[in-house]
Amino acid sequence: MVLSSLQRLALSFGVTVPVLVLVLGCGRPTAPAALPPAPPSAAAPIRFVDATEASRIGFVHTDGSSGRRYLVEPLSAGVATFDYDGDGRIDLYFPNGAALPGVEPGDSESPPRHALCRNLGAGVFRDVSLAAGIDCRDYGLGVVAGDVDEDGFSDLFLTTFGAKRLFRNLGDGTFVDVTESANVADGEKVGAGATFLDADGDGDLDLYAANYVRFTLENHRPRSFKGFPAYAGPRDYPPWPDSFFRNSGDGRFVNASVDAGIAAVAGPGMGVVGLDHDDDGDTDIYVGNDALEGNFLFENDGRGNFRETALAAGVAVNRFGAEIGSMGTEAGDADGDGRIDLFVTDFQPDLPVLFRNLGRGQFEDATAATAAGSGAWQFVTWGTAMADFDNDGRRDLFLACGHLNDNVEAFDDTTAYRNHNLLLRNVGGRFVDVSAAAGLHDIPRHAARGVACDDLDDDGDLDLVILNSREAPTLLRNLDRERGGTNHWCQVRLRGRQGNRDGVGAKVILHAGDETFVDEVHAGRGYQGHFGTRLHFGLGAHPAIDRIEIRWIGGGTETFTDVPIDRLTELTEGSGRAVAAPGSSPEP
Amino acid sequence: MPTDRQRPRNGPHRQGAGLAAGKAAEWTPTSPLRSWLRLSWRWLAATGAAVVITATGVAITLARPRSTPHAAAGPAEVIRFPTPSAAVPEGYAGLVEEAQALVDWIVARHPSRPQSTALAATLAAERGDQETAATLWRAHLERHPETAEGWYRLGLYAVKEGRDAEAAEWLERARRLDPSLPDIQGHLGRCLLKSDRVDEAADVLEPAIGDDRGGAVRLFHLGHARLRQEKNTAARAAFQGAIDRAPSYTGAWYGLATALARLGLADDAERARAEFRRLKADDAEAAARNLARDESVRMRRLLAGWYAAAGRIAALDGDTQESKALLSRGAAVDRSASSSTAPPPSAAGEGH
Repeated sequence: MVLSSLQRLALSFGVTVPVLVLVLGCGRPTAPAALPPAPPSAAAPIRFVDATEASRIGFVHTDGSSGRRYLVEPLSAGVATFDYDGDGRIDLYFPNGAALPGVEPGDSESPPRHALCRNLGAGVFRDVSLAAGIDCRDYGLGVVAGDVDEDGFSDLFLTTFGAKRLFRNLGDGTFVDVTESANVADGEKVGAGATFLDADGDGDLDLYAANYVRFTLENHRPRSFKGFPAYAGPRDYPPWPDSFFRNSGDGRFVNASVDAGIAAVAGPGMGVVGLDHDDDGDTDIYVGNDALEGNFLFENDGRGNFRETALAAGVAVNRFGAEIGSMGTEAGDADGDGRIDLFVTDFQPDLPVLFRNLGRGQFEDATAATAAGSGAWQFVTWGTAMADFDNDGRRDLFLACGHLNDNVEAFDDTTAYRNHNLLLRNVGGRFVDVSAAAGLHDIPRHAARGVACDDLDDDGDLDLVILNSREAPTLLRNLDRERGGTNHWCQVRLRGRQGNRDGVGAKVILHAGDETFVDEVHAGRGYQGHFGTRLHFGLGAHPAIDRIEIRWIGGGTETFTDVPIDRLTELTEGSGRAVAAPGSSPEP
Repeated sequence: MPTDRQRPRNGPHRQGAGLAAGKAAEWTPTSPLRSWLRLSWRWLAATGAAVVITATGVAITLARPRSTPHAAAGPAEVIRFPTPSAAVPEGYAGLVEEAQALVDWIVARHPSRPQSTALAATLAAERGDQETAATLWRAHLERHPETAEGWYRLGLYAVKEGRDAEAAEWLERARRLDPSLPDIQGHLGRCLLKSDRVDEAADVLEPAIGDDRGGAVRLFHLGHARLRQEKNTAARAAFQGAIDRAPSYTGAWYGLATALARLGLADDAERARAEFRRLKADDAEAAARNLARDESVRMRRLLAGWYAAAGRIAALDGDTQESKALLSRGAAVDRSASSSTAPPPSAAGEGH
């Protein structure tokens, strides 16, 4: 239908309302329905539209499979959103798989490679990988961005099936591979999630990289399940300990895994997130382990020495004492009490788990009490984002879904390889499955893996990009603003001076009226990915921000007043003054 | 099923799904075809028993009552029913095929027995076809709504699928019909707990603890209900009770550690955590052993159990010869499971 197509066009990236009105005005003078959609209602307060086609992202993921079912195939990959060129727009990075044994050389025209996609504005992206010097054809699994050399530009760290890779951002739109000189290759391993953090408070970013299990192509084990071929799992191989690299400040890292206490334990690591779980001013590390060993919580002593305390803190296993088939890990204040909670996605048919932070470093499994697993039982859930999609001041949950066995329907009719993703809206502290109402059921199903969440079109609401295994990614545009959403919001970008440049690890406390909103700057989160360096706060009906307090890592606490709402603001350490950030933030 | 999930219907195991679509109702006790088949079966079962006794190893040919509507109207297909001495299929697929033949047979022969439906539903669930399993029970319950086991099984399927509120409804109905169903209070209490109906869960669980091993599980869930009610002393007592009944109950140790920590008994909590860690390590070893097990061995044991159940169903209907034949075959399958040499784990373990 013509009208329907135009409506879709209107909702896609890159088409402004005036252009739309002009187009409609020519062909259909009576087309008011094509104007921006109805304002958010109680029934459908959040709405996404598939903006993939309009985005011109040409990336297509491959897992390099040929039917032999190597363990790494379903693990690829996370996804990252970050501003690599400092133009104020959020760019995209997609790791990719690579051909594994069994794939004929002529099966594809050119070997698959990772993709760095520059945000050109208006919802359009361009693959600039080669021009940017990133011609990476390693078997990609994870990605994290961080300014490791404090030069003002975000560098890229990749985990792969093989050596890890570090690309230094030269600031001119190009990167150079500094893996060897930086000493972060870390041998041949099955990599996983990673996080940058200033572990010792010395002002530069150290690096934590989870590792999965000791799988190699040579020790590949064919498996079957109920007579059907299946992938091997974490129980089939011993786990690698994770890796910790201390930044020497001279472009090199020292592998301090043993000295720092990280290598004292080993588990099949996947998602990783840094957070200050006990509110003591340093960054701790939470690692999701896949079904074995329980998850890890490495408590930082403030000097970059760690002790694994997950069991005592109540975040190792679910409330029944059962290990979680952890995939993605996310940190955020789910219940608005000012403490950072943890969320972990899980293997089907178990539910993802929300760990509520009780204070004093203690957590409880609040999944049942909050219904944070609503609708998820039949899915393997991977990437996740705890973010306020309707700017009502409460953080919602997005879960990327997809099975790892492409033949799962043959032996389990309760699930499928390709699935809808899940959106759970936070309604007064309980989560409600609003996936269908939000439009997620109108979008083709995929076997989703990583997800990243940022304001990709700078309109004041949070969009999503999802890496789909074996397929093109999905870009979901949030229509909150287009639908006339009236809730206010605020985005802040931190600039460290004494501390690390992006303020990674800093705690931000926003006061508006009688409410307090809390977040931390993370570098690395979700399923082996990265997003949200620019913090986004939904403010609900609050017409103003009273003040923002920032507790910098390695520095003191600083208060900023006169921070405007409904725009992006840069807060620089030591300045005590909010400055409008460069970029395309809309007028308030 | 209420969802719109993708459910391709191309699996090889869907062949028996005609029954799942509610066609079992066509096999009414008054069906002339069924009567004919019953006579045929008795005659053939007698023959089969003779074959068993002489151990000739010759398969008995039986007229196979099909579970599909076409079979009900058309000529019966001929199948070979294995004798006790016939070779037991080696692989999982062959075992499932034999199980399907058994189930099709027993459901057609004894359609009004809830045990028949239970057997068919169990096989469907084993094949990952929960929808068929639930449909079978729904069809049965339309005709026999008084069948407590039907509501019970529907409830358990819903539990498995995470539909706890619905599960609680079915289980409550089952409980009203037959409070003696296996651990019905425990299942119901757990569903209520997962549905965030904490007080109701405690009310169901507390009077139903009992002295059996299931009492440990009920105490475990009661402990979690008490934690949610912030009755930490009562939670501690419940978890300790579960451990007294089942000292290796890993989850109960974790619950106990949680309760002790909330009571401020840090040292005791740490001791409970240490025990939890130790038991977890044992669990991991057991899981590794489980992984190394040949999945066809597990299926043989299931099939042996299903033959035994089928034999009991036949006995209930007075078909002694049929019952004996089925029980004999079940014993043979069970022996094959015991003597099976599993291939190395690298080639046969269960996948992720």
